[in-house]
Amino acid sequence: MMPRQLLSFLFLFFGLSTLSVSQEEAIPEYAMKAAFVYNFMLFTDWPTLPNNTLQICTMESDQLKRELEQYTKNQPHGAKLVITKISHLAEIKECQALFLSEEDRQRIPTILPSVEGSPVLTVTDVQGLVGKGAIIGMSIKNRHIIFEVDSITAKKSGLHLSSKLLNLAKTVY
Amino acid sequence: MPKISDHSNKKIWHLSFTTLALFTLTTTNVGAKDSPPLKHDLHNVSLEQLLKLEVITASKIAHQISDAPSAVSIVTAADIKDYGYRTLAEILNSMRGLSITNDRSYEFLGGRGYSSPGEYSGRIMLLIDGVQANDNVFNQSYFGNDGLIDTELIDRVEYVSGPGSVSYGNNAFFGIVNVFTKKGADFDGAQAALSAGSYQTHKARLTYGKRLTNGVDLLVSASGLDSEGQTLYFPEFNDGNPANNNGISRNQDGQRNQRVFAKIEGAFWSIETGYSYRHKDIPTSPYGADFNSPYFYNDSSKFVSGQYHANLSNHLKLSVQTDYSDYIYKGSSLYSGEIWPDSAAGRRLGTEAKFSGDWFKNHQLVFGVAYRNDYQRKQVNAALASDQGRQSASVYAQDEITLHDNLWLNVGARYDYFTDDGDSISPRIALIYEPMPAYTLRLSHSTAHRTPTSFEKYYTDGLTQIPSPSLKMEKVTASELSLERRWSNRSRLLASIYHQTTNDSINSTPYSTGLLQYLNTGSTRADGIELELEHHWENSVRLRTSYAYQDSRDTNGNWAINSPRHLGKLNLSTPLLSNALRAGLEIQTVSRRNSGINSQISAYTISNLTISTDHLLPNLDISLTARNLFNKHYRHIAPEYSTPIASIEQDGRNFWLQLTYGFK
Repeated sequence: MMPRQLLSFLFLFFGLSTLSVSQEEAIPEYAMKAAFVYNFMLFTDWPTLPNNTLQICTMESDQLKRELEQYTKNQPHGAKLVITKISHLAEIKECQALFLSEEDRQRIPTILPSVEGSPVLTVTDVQGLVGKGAIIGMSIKNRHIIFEVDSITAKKSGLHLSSKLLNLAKTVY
Repeated sequence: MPKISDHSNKKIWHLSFTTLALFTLTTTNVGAKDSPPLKHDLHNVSLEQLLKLEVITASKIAHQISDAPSAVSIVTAADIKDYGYRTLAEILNSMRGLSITNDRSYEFLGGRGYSSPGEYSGRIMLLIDGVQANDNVFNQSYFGNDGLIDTELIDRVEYVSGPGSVSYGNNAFFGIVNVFTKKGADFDGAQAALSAGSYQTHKARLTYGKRLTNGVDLLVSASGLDSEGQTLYFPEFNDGNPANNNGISRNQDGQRNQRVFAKIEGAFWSIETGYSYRHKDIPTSPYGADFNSPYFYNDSSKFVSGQYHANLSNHLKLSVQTDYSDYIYKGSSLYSGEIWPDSAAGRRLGTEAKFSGDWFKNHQLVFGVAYRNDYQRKQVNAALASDQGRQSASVYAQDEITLHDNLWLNVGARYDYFTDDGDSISPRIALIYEPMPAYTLRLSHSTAHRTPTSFEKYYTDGLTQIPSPSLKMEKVTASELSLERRWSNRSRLLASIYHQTTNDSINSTPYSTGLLQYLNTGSTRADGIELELEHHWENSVRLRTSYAYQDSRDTNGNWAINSPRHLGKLNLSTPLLSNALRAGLEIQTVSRRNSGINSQISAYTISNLTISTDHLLPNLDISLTARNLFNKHYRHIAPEYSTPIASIEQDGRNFWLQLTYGFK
């Protein structure tokens, strides 16, 4: 016996999903976050950029990686921009910036101490990490992205953040 | 072991097949569908401009807050809205491996193979914002209109399967349900809701929530419900006895409730209080009471809790929680026309200090102490006046050790001491491994305990139930292996396999013996497999589906009462008409259950559909729910104490209309 409900479900499922129309114009979250991450690169100075390369690393957030790849033709600080997905902690030291997402939650307590003091700009959209090792944290408030910055950790890591970035941040520690 | 008929067998195969087919269908889709990059050109937009642009939040699969070493299922506020959930029971019924049995008095939660109808002390702990919500007389959690919280105030519900005594001690036996309430900022103003539904049901709610300029978050809410209920037919009472009204129980199914909830929260502290009262008329005349005669249960619960968090140093955090709660029950029934009043009251105070420290590289330590004083556990009726208070003290510690950058070991134990029931140690060891990114493998072995309740140990009515003062605590040991796979944060697949054994299992003697008594009856076991898949499409269609197989055996090795072998759930929510509306479709399948010697109760599949507006009007949301859409006749097994009633017909197709107005 094929449940009648299942047939109705299949009908509804295919019927309704074709009906549904994508949402109207406004910027999708990850396109927006990628734009922010790219801009953070422009306002950060690293002690050196080995091989004249600026490498932004992501871990599990493929959505952000995909959006960031749109920017690889740009040359922030005149350097070649590379987006890399990493899976091992050892690779982190090669990164100039590291994006941590909700999907990396289990590893965050291990990752943050491992980059402590190295010139890696840690950017995250996980709440509550700025002040606990992450340098820039983004969040959404009233349909807008806001960000906070831990300038002390940035300094300890040997990164220089421009005053403009600090002025635009919602909170600076 | 009862024989499985060919017909039902076939049905089960069909069910398993469809579930599997759905899994395959969706997974293939999931893996392949990495959407193309979007074409919004933000390349040359300055940071100042970016800050001014509006963003659409992507619909993400929620990550668990509860306990990392356990498999967790989540229902969010969006699900509650889209599927029109009115009670916690409806929420839990949609979750992996859980099922609700309703006897028209209370909703009883079953999971992990356990689902004894009418057993007041469920084996799954309910926590509301960290406060234990079960009463201290029956140990019962209230999931229906008798529960403490309106579903509209719930931000998310997490179901943590498996023993949880390592963290929560007594009662976290087969699992934990963690309810997290919303913040005032989520309402940002006043909200009024009016609802009407089948069986002459009406509900009104008023909520005010705000984050004040000083950062303090405030939430206040009150609601009331009134329902006439149904006139019900129980063939068991159609016995020619004129007093039994041809088996018709008239106007004996009504209920009404009131609830109040308030929460005030700062950056490092929160104070929360909740109150609920429900009156329910009982149509089934349990414990041999007069049929079609006044019979009611009044249950009221309240709690006040305060939490404080502090960073004691760079490496040490402290959370302190203190709570008070009470529970008052009054019941009344008629025996040969004479009123039988029955009452119970429980009051308790508890406090806990929990520390988390990360002094040592690769170690995340959590440890704490807890004290609880159940200073009142009172039961009163014509044959009984008992008040057996007790105290308990606990100490616990857990360490999550990073062995490698993709391998964690979680070890912990909790020691509980009770002034009346002795003591218990509940250890857990768990290994968490990420063999490759996005795959998480969890292997755990844990034990939990449950002390007998005041009701099980001391209750008597001088007629149908006798006390059991030497009752001991029951203990469960479980091993579980689970695999979780996530694709970005749009899809998630969870597969879990477990084995659990309960020793000194507490069960009541059969009603047929003429006297009910709770006894430690030996060991029971359950084995099971659970699968769960969630996917969120870019066009905001959301799917959540699960299948659970469970083989649960009683002390004689027989198929446990009321434990379905198969549970299937499917929830699909999709926008309609250019996002003006949303449809939420829910399908739930429960296979046959064993209802006693040589008797079984048939499987059923029911569907619920909710259509709701999604900001169609600026301040008004409208939602219409049809439960049991196809008007399926299905039955739940009745508690033994409802003899001669063996099973209880559940609600047919019923509707619920809700208008929610936000004063902005």
